[in-house]
Amino acid sequence: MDPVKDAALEREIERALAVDPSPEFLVRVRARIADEPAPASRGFGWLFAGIATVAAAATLVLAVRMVSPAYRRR
Amino acid sequence: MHGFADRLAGGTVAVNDEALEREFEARLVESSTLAFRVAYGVLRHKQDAEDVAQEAFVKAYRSFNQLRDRERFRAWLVRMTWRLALDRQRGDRRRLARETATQETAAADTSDEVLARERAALLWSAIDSLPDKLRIAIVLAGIEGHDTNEVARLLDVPQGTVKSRLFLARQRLKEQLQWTQ
Repeated sequence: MDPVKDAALEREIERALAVDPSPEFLVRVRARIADEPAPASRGFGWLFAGIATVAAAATLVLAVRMVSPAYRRR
Repeated sequence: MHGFADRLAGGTVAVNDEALEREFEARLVESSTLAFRVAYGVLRHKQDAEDVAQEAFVKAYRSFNQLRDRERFRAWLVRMTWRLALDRQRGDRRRLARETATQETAAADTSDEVLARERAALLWSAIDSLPDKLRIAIVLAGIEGHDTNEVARLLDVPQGTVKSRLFLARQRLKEQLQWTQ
């Protein structure tokens, strides 16, 4: 491998990629993110939703068992 | 139990939110140019690259609390941005021609500049034709002078793998460009 050619190629690629985003880019990203719900709250939201679903399912199973004839016979 | 519920509903969540927001903001500032340039390396269109980088940051924000090792944020962001940029490129290849046309009319037409533009167009065409693994390695190595160690961290692969991918990528590029410099 020729190191001179390699260095020239690397320089050419670096030059082609040395482009900066516009000054408004960060402002736009921040504004877009501000419209999103906070990630931590979202995490707890899923936790609460999971707990509520499990509790509802358990209550339903218990209720069905209590009104079933087999349970009443006991 | 009551206290825990109160903390979850109020103070702790707010504090967690604030800490996460602050941490994300710091990551955003330090990685914004990287994400933009990764997208630009695929799309070569400033506005498209900004749109894709923004999309990647929004995705990253949504899942930020699930990222266990925050030190790997940049690698995570690079992979997301790269995938989004490839999707965008597949969706609209005509942008490339438009961008080249815009650059051509904007610049003065000295023979050196025409030559440089032609070389750049050939270079990008050669980079685009590389297999994906070689292509991302050569683009990342070309951003901000990343060394093989940094590229390895960003791609989450051993340094030796990056070295061999860069070697192969450069070989193929030189063959395609018939490098005579």
